[in-house]
Amino acid sequence: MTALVPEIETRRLRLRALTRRDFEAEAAWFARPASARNGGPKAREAVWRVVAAMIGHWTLESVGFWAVERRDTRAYCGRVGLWNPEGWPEPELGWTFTDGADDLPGAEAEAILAARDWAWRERALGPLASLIRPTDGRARRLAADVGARMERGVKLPDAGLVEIHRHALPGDAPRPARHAMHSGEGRA
Amino acid sequence: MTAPALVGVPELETERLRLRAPSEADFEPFAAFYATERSRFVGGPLPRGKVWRSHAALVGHWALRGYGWWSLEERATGALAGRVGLFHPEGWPEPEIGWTLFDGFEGRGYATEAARAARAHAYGDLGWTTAISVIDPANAPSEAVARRLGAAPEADWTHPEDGWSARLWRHPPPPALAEETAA
Repeated sequence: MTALVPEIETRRLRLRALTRRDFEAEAAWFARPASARNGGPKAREAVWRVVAAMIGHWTLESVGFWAVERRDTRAYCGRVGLWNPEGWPEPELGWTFTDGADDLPGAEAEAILAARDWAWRERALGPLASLIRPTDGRARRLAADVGARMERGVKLPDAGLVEIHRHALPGDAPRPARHAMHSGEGRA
Repeated sequence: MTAPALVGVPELETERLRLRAPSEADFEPFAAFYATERSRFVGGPLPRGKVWRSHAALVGHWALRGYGWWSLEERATGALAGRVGLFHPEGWPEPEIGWTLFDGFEGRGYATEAARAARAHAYGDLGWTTAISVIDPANAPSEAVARRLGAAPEADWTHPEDGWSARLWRHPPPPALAEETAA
């Protein structure tokens, strides 16, 4: 009763299919004030719908989100993956990390790069975009850490103005910064 | 690129219907259904983007609970007639048996036939000891299906997060069904 989700191992992390237990871990995280860094707190009902849709996304789009767990403790650290629902401007490389890997420096970037590399290798998707709210300093820093560059602003029907950060392809040398920055353009 | 199928969803057949795993191809018919007023008792009308997420979440429900919604095919034509399912998202009072028919497929007993098969699966293979259906009190055709299934209205209920209200119908438990069959 699962979509076939590939498993990826990195040096310190495992990316695998989301499960019922991961929902509980995520609901517990989003019940805490600390989840404000991911747009929380959120009700269990809302977290359920997101996790269920992320699992179903694999069946509908043949890509989706993985659960990220630590290989040392098997603790849940959040999710990373590809998001391309109806109406989205383009396939997105997205992530939501709990505090599960806060004591593992660089783990979040490690997970993002693993998902990015898989998308290029297995689905020929790239260079990928990440859609980030201009106020989300944490996500903007992470995007920069993995070599993405701010490309332009775009208005989404539900989310308002977001920035498109463009990732490099696996193995690319860091690209020079682009200066063009337009607001309100896009395919949405 | 062919999307990976949802693995392990049991396929059920009744006299006139096939209950099969929801697929990518089912999205457009459901988007069309949710664009009409006919969807008003099941959360609609909804824009395409919201239908997509709801469809994805229904697929994911199978992985999270081990049961979920089937897409309902008319065996004679292969046409998608609606859906029937076993549903228990977070926030629901308890596991539910649900049904939705598209325009043109009502009035033939399809919902009752499909819900009976879903309930038999729940009571047999899944070991459920009871079941409810959550029905908008203005949805008389759906209430008629619940009655035909032997269910009775039990209580009114308000969704804790979304705030909408519905009536809970209680299905007869498995032993009563066994007696009904023996009678």
